[in-house]
Amino acid sequence: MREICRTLAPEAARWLEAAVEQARTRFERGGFLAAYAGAARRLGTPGADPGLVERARAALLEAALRGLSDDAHVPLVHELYRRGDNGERAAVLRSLERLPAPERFTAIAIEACRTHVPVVFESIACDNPYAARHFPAGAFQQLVLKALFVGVPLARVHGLETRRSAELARMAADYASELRAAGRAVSRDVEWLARGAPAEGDESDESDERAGR
Amino acid sequence: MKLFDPHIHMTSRTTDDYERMAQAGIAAVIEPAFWMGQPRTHVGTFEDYYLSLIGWERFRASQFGIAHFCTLALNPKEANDPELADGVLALLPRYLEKDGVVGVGEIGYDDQTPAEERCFAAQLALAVELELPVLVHTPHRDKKRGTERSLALVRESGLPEERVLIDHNTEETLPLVLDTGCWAGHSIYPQTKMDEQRMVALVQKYGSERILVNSAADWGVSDPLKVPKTADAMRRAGIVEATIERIVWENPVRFFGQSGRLDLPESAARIDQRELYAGNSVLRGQTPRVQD
Repeated sequence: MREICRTLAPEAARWLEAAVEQARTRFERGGFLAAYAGAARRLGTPGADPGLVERARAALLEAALRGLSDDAHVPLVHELYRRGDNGERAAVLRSLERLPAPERFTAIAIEACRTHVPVVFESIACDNPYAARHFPAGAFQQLVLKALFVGVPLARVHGLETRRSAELARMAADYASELRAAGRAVSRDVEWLARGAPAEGDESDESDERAGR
Repeated sequence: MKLFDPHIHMTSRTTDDYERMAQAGIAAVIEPAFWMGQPRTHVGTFEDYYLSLIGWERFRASQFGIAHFCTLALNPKEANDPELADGVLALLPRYLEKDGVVGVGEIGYDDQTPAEERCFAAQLALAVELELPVLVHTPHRDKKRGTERSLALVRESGLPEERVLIDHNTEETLPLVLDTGCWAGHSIYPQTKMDEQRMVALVQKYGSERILVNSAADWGVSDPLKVPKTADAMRRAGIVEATIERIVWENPVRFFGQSGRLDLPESAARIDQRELYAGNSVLRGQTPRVQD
């Protein structure tokens, strides 16, 4: 929190500190939802670092949950996601892993993977440990497949190595086959995934491929 | 020349329209919240519509290089539904906080009923509280009287008139609006409302100050290229470029810029450091930089 405020203009820092304090000690639903919504523009110019806005929103949400009873947590996170704009949605998804008992929020994270909006999909699929840690196999496979479809590099899918499976390899191999039948190029990521988990594929090539990524 | 369509319902338009608009030089749009051609039956339908304006539609426009902003409100027609009106008004304090929202609108009169007036006044008060500009829809039936009543209600609300855009003007209503401090929008729409030639005549008579044009293109037979077409008509009539640019770019930017939230991408915003924003210059003794 201190780290966030250090980079803000004094007025913006004051606003954030007050909003976080309010969320933690005097939570009021309407005010909280409005603060979460308006955070991006209250923290500075449009050119401000989007990561900063996400961290500020995370601080607001964490403060709110600290003050609320456990059974209010999932409904609030769902509310912020479902009735958020794309920036709010991305902020919610990036903050999930640090929330108390994060496994409670898989439903909204899985729903998020259906989005067509890149910034939202990337906030769950890229550089975010949440999916690999908490998604059931089917949902994780769909996330990876979608990453291939939309061109998100697999190197950014955090924890992929821990979730590779025969089924995921089969899906990738089928996708490669579909691409070839359509006369389209097959990316190195698709090929790599299709080769299967290290125990099944050609191990000697694996580490070279991955190092070259 | 970059163009701005400050009143267009892109929810009802296809990507073909976005492509043609981008090609024609339209760099920014305002999509006001309105009705969908038939009355909604749940407060939640309004909520999801607001979400689509700030989320999906904004994203869709960005795919074509068009900066999309919206105004949100309970529109005049649906203000007549006693079951939904208060529920929808209750959504606004939260949704008006969201990114991409640059004003309260469309509000105003449709049939000029007491229910419409109540919601019109309530939303003017909200705009005062949140310091947002307002987009006022003037009725198509009994328009002159409806415009007079709208201007009176605006006056009563205490909202500074320069933060109010009265839309869908005609030859008869424009002078009424220009007599106040309000801005005047004109919807160039096939068969009804206003057309390019009549607009040219109005500009020749009244100039460009506080004047905007839009297509109001929606789910009906309408043309999302009316702003560039009107610019062309003005050009052919001999109106100078600076005047045209003021109408189709600077005026919308200045009016909606009053929200403090019109985040135009660097490439789109014309830079004129001689301009004052809210009375304050960005300059501190430097020579002004003006981009031609």
